[in-house]
Amino acid sequence: MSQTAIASGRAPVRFSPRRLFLTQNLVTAIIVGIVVGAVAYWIGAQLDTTDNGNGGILLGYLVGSAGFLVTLGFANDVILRLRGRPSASIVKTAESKGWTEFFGISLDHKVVGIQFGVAVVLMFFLAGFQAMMIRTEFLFPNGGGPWPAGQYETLVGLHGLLMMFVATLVIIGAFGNYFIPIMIGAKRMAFPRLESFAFWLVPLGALIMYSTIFAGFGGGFPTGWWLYAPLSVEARIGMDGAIVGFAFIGIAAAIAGINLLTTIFVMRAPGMTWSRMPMFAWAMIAVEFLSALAPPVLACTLMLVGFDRAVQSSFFEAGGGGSGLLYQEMFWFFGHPEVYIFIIPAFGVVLEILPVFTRKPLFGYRLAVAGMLGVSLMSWFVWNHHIFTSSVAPGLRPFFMTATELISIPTGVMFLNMLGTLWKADLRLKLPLLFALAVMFNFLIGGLTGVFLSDVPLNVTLHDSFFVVGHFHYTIVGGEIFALYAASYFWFPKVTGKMLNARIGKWHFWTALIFFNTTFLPMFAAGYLGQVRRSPVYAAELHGLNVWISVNGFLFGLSNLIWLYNIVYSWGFQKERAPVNPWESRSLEWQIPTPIPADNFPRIPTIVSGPYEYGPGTTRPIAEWPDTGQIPTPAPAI
Amino acid sequence: MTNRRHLVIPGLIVAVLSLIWDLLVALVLHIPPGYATTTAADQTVTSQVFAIIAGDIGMAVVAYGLYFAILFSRQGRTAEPQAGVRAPSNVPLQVGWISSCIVLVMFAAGFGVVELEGQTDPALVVPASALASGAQHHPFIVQVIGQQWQFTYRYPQYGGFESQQLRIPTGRLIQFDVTSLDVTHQFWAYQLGVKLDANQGINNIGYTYVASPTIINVRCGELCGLWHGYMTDVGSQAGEALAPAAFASWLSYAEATYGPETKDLPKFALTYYPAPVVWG
Amino acid sequence: MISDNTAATGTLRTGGRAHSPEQVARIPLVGTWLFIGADFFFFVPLFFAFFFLQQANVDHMWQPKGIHPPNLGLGVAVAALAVVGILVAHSGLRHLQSQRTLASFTNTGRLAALLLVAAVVVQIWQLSHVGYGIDSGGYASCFFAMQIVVTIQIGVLALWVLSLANRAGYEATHPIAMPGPDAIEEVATPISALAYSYQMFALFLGAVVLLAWVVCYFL
Repeated sequence: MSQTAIASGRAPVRFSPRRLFLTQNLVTAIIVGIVVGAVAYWIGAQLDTTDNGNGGILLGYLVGSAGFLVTLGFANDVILRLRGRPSASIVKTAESKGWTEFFGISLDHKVVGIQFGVAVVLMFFLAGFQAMMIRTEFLFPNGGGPWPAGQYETLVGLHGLLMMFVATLVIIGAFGNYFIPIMIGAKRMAFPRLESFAFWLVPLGALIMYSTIFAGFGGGFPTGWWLYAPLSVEARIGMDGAIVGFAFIGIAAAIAGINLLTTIFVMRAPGMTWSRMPMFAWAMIAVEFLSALAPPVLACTLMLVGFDRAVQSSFFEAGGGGSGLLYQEMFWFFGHPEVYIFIIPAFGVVLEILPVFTRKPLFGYRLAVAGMLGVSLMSWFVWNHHIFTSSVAPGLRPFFMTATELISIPTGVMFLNMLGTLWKADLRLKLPLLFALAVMFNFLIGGLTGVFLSDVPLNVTLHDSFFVVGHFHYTIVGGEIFALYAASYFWFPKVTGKMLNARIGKWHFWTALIFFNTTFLPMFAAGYLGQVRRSPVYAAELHGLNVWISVNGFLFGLSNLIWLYNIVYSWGFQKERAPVNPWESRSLEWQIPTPIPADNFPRIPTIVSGPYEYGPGTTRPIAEWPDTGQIPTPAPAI
Repeated sequence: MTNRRHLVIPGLIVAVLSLIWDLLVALVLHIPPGYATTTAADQTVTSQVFAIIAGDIGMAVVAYGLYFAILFSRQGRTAEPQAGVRAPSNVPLQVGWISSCIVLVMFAAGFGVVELEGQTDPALVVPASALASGAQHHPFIVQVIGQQWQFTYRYPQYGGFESQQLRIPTGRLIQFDVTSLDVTHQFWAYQLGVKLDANQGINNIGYTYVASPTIINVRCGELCGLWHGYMTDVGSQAGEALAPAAFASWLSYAEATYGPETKDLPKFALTYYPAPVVWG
Repeated sequence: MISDNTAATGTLRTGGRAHSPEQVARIPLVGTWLFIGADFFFFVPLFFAFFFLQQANVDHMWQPKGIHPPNLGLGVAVAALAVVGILVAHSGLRHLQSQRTLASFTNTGRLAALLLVAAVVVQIWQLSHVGYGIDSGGYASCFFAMQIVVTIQIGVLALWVLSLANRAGYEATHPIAMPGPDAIEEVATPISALAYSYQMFALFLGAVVLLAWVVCYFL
């Protein structure tokens, strides 16, 4: 290795066919995965006594995935441990292998963070394209759109399920993995191998889910992302991929949850007390309890659906003694915590950004922490509000209605934090703050319409209508995806060393905010007027409304392309390097050089003050840096 | 002094906007599903109440947020930047905020529980004005059967004949018994304000009372397979709530027309299963 | 366990080059507790389905004619083998945790793994000789699913215990040096920390095995 390569930490990569085909890498993993999967499919098909083919397909997916993961190298450490050797050292994170690192197992949480970010954003655009196709269908009344009859539900399923993958992991996976260890002063994640494992389950799950478009007539699966049984038990072979893909994402989310929680609990730097933790880390604690505990319920439920499909057990088919209501109960027991897995990271991003750009301490730090933990806890007790009309436990409906409305109290705390922090602030209306404020605006509408849906009598008329579609897009897109925008503008300079272009960013902000609202606000009206969700057929008098929504939806889609263009342009073509701490933030990740050293800190710093002590009179640095003996000057108070 | 001004100005704006919004919601906007049945009327009134509360809260938060954001921004119009005042956590404000949230939530929950009772207790579904007629004593029962991809309706009190169209009488307590033959469907009778899931092996019961004749659009609300979107009964084949005389004549026509087919159907039951599997 | 980190690192006021051995040792502990939580929630649908379908008894298909809980003897054998294996593993791991019996755990651990594997084998034999299949109504579905999941986890626990037995044997001959106070490399996860973690999981799984046994055979 040459001197320069060592100095830059990047090893030169030489191409050789032998290395490509005879070592553990992505290419061999894909080949082995496909071959092993095909063999398993053939064996499964021979063993299957029915003619529906599900057994072989499920076996093929599972064994193929195992082959892929083992060939990629995830079994190496397991075998080492089984032989009784201590597992391989993690210190190798300090050595970077160059760009190939992004296509294999990396023990560096920053590499995994970028892997997550790129993969999930690609999935976001793919699923977004499906949304455009869905809206194209609505340009024509009575299902007269361009897609063949019956294909609409397939589009809804692909869009919904892929967006679930995106929403579950986009902030946790990308920004959680990348920044949480740095923010709390750790050199690594608690379980780096599991971290990489969680990542590789994501493209694998997405590909398996997406492979169902080749499954015979119409392709895909007809159940939307709920995979409601007994439809999901009776549906054709496309369903198998949806089950396996979704279960993989559930497992990935659970692993990511355990990993991030352990990291935050154990790996904090000296002096990083609970009250000095950044809000983003607190949000991760609140959300990862959900992420660690709720998806296992989903994984098990989907396993039972798989049993029903492959070996004709009867959990969900009334003919054999099962019940569809059982599925609904179990699914929403996972499903409601799941939707807070989407929104709590968004709170974390917003509360992290607010103090930096208002130049004053966060208003009500403890209250915000209590609020997020409260949301996290209460989200376990509201799941039945998704099935108010299903005849499950009618006597419990008042309880679930009240519980659902009670959850608006800890949620409402976020708005007090925001208003209190804005009050008499020294605001800098930079893009991250603009997007953070947009998150609060959109989530306000999403939250208030949620109260409509929590009310049982109103839920009767609004449930499964476009009102619900508007509501959850306001929370997930308006809340979480706008928080993703905010986070991308905020942290991009630290990850890439380049600023996202502010002028293009302003265009992105205004087009996204305006067209998002013009798209989804009319959906509340459409729902009240009786438009059923997941149906291409709507009343003739709603045609104008639907054309309006579609056109604005396309424009909102285009505004996302501005964002993508900005990322590509700023990352790849912009010459100017960003300052180390462009926002003058006090948080730990901004106090270290860009690009961040492979092991984050040569020495672990000692934290000596809180992250949000902005304003005049603040002279305390956030941390002492033992390596240099140098105490960096705090962000200047302006 | 200036502090108070910055709190009062947005408050005034909110007050004016709220008043306009409240009047709009209460008097001008026609919020569906309307007043055709007691359940629908409940939903309309609840919508109005919630729209007023939610609209006022939303406008207040947005007004204060926008006002602060503009006022305190460095590019804004403040003459002297109020640079970074240390924010005490202002405990009274926090307590006040949470208390008012609790009060609102408890109001909404109480309101919802009372309305819910009025929709699920057969005796309460019938309006007070009609109680004297005895409408609550003998509910008119319609069984709604969902299957891929249509609804059919059975009338157990009239020999269990089966119709493709939903017809119900006005001025009586209506009881819907909803079930499914295959996957989960959802019986959504829009104008009636009735929405009940149709589950295999489950009898899902709901009530309503139709005050005046109306067209009924029935749609399946639960994704039930590839042709879910087409599982609708609207337009010329729409369901109808008929005045008692008109309903009686439809009933005698329907009994005579569809009645003979009933003997080909399975015997009336609350739920239907495929032929039982014989074990052992 | 989840305490303030300042207290955990004691007088350490300056950060090291690497994470301290105390921190490294606490990783598997906290991780295992969370894993047990996740695993608990993985079991929730299985038990929930059992009671839900039993109560619903849809179309009288919970236990159709001729479907009964299987022969108690084999059920007792499986549960007993698993529980004894877990108890042996647990006591061995407790000694191992205190670092006193490094070499002896090699044998205790292998014995425990053997018992657990025996439980798996008997279980497979039982499941293939029940007389009916997973497709025979609600009870059969729940019984098979629950037992299959429990058995897989018993197998995984056997592998974990075996890996630690091998590690104990390895460390008895290749002692792992503790790094100095300002080491650049982290210490390998100490065997005592792993022993504690696996103990906790073993106890949890033992409880699940017993619960599944009671539920499947007596309720």
